[in-house]
Formats: sequence, C-alpha cells, structure tokens
Amino acid sequence: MTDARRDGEDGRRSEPARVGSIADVPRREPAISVVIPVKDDAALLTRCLSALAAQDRPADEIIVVDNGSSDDSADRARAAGARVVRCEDPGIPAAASAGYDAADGDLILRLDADCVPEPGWVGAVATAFAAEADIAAFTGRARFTDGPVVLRAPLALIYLGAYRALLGLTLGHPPLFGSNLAFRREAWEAVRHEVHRDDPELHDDLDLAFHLGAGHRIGILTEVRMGMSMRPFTDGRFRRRVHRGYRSVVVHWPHDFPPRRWRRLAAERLHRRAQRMLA
Amino acid sequence: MSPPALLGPASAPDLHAMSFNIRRAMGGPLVRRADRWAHRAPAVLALLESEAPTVVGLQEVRPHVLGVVRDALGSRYRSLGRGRGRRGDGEGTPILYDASRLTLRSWSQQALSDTPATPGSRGWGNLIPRILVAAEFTDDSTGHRLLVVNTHLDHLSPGSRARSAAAVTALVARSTSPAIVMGDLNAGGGSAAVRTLIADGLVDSWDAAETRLSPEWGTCPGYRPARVGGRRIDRLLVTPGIRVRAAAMNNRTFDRIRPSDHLPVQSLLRITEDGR
Repeated sequence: MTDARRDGEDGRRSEPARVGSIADVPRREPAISVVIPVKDDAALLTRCLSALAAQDRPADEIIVVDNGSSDDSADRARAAGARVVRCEDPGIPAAASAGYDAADGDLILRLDADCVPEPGWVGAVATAFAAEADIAAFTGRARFTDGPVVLRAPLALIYLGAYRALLGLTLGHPPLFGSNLAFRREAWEAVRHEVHRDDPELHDDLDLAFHLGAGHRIGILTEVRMGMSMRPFTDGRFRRRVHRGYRSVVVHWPHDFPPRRWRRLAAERLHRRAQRMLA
Repeated sequence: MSPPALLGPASAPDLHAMSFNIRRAMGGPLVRRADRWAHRAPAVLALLESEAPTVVGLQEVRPHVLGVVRDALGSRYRSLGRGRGRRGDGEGTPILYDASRLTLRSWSQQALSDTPATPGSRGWGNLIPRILVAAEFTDDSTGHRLLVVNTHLDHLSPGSRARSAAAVTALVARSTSPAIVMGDLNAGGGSAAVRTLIADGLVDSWDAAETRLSPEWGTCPGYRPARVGGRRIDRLLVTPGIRVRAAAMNNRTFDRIRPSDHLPVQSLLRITEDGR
C-alpha cells in the first residue's frame, strides 16, 4: 500500500468548486474529482490548474499528488485551490493510485500536469457517463499545444493512433490514455488492490487498462480533445517511455497474453450480457 | 424482465434433463440477425445458467462454443464429446453434466455408420457425418446408475435416421442401466426413427409425463413464435424404470431474443428401478 497522506489541508476544496461539500451535491449529479500526479513541474501545473479553473462545469475537487517534488509544485497547487496529497513512494503508478484513493468524487478524472483541458472537458466527461450507464471508464483524444505547428496534427494522429492500434490489439479493447482519462469510483475500487502501483517503471494508465478492461466496459470520449505538451518527444526520455510501455504489457503475461486475454474478455462480456438478461 | 426458470436446478432424487439444439454458431453479413451467434449467445447462456440442468445434451455445438457454454454453466459442469469430423473437428453433440451430482463411469462417442469407431465415417445415406455421444453415470445422491445418449440425426435421409435410431437402441440394449436418449431426431412422431426407438422399449417423456408444463409446441419454430401442433423433432426418451415427473418445451426468450431456432426439451426425472 502507498502511504499517501493528505497534506494538512484535508477539508479544503479547490477554488472553482461549488459551494458546499460533496455530500451536498444533489443526487443524479455525480461529484467529480480531478487527479493530477506531479513531480517538479510547477510551471506547467499552474497552466493546467488555471485551465481547470476555467471549466464550464468545474470539478468538485482537484487533487494534486506531489510525488516528492523539490520545486514549489505543491505550493502552487495549494495557491490554485487544489488539495495536495503527498506520495512518498516513487513513480507515477504510486502517485496516481494515491490520488484516486484520496478522491471523494463519484467520477475520477485524470490528466497530467503538462495538459491543458479545453473548457468543455469536465462537462463532456460528466455527460458521457450520464448517457452510458454501463461504461466504467472513458478515454479521450489529444492534440499538441506546443512544438512546431506543422508537426502537431500529424504527430498527434500518428502517436495516438499507433498507441491505440498497438495496445488495442494487445488488450482486446481501447487502451486508456492517462492524459485524458476518467472512470467511475466503483471501477477504481474494484481494481485498486490489483494494479501494479508499486512499480515505478510502468505506465500507470496502461497498467490500469489491463485491470479495468477485464470486467468493465471502456468508452471513447469524442467530444473534446486534451491539449498536451510535445515534451515526451523532446525531453530525451522517449526510449524510457517505450521501455515502460513494453514492461507494462509484459508484466501481465502470460495471464493476459493477447489471444488468451481476448478469449477471456469475450467470454466475460458474454457472461455479463447473459446476467443482465436474467436480471 | 425475464420469466423465471421453467424447471431450474433439480434437487435429489429428481434429475433435470435437457436436450437442446443450440443452432450452429455463425456470424457475418450473410447470416440474418436473429440467427447470428453474437446476437443470441447471451440468450443461450442465460437459458442454460438459469435452468441449470443436471445433464444436458446439446446439438450443433462448434468447438469454440463448447468452452463458452461450459464456462456459463459453471465449474461444476464437465463436458463429453468431440466434433463429428475426422479429426474431432466440426459440430458436436456433447453431453454436459453436473459433476457434483453425477459421477462419470465411462463414455464414448461413435460415428453413425458401419464403422462407428472411425471418426468422420458415414454411409447410411447422410451426406455429412453423424454421431452419438453416450455416457454412463452414477447418481451420487441416490446410488442409481444412468445411461445418457445424445445424438443429432440426419436432416435429409430418412434411411440414415432409421439406421441411426437402431444403432441407438442397440447401444441402450447393451447396458442394463436406466437410460435417457435425447437429441434432435429431425423426425416427427410417425417417423421410422421415432417408431424404432419406441418399439425398443423407450418412452417419449412428453407422453409419459405426469405433468406437462408447456403446450405441445413444435420444437423447431425457427426464431418465430412457437406453434402448437408443430413437429416435435427434439425429444427426450427414457426407459420404463424412469419416472417422468414433468416435461416441457421451453419457449422462453431473453430481452425478446430467441436463444435458438429450436426449443429446449426438458424433463424432471426420477429413477425408480435400478435395472431394466
């Protein structure tokens, strides 16, 4: 278990949140938590938080998980009205998991500090979940907000297209993309003890896809795209990202080796449909 | 909202037996929606799960479907039987049974031909190989022995069906246990095949039933509403040492989806005599 502890300011809600606590939110309108894992990324985090503050439908709480930053990321988060959760265990899987665990909302949304959500993002996620009662997680598209202008559109298409195609085959369903990801609280509670949260060399979103994808339906959010930085290509750590990608897949083998996983998931889907017919 | 199970799980000493042609699993644009496996598979599984027969003989079961069906029935169930092709491929007529109730003593599969031991063999007028699967059990709760035979007779050749029926009765005659013969006989009451089975001492469970839980529906309505007076080509027959407490054709749909073009034939049985 990760020892995530709240950072002294437990009760505080994010500034853009509506008045009152989550318990006061009327029924039918799910409470929304946004989780952002961060390490030494104060400048971009500030940009991300101001985009979150400008949402048409603001989140009910924003949780910034400080994963051992040495800069003032946590202070900036607090200044922006976010709740800061400290996670001492290294790695994004531990940090993201700690954030989900701390979240009080019915819907948990995840993005990265270098992301800039469009103003309609939170609202679109809420609408999508309301419309599809049996979808447990949504994942969405993205576009680049920096880097050479001529490269932005084609690179987003190729990068995300390849990610979706390759991992869609590996998983047998759409992969989850951590920069634009949302799931129901019950779905997280169903898998929180099985995700590989202690392995810093994994991609947390891909790992989560393996666990959520078995037993839950995943939907694609088409309405809004997430603005993200081209940093993964320019920071010199792309190889490490690819390595983590492989590792995130291979730790689940042989149990989730593609044909085996496909067959198992197909059987589970059938079974769930049969159960619904009997309900 | 689906209606409750027709018979549901049986408690000892009763046995719930079912014969069900689940219709060959097919997909693709040329198969109409009602017949598509992807469309109706959940309904097949829902039916089997809710009825939970003690022993069920299925017909037209392709190999990849057998695993799906067995999973749906749960870990208590085992299956017997391979495909009818030369390498055990293709459609099969497996027997699935609740292993927490029945203990398997022996089982066999044979081709319905002059060379029953040769998989894929034929020669009685059927263009495709036809098979039967037979299994001998001990009922753990009563100690009775039980022979179960499941088959799917040819759809075209009456000669093949009659000779196949004779092969079934010969197999039943070799055993001294009370027996259930079930399957898609592709033939109605007046046919040589059914007359052969009955002449050799088997009783149609529908005729012998103490209670009938459904109208006398034809068993192959082809995804249309079941019709009284249609041919009963799927049957469940028993030797006289078995009491038929209830019998029915199951016309249940699931979210308005018909599981198959055939209706399952079910009966609640009680073995009263050990021998014959």
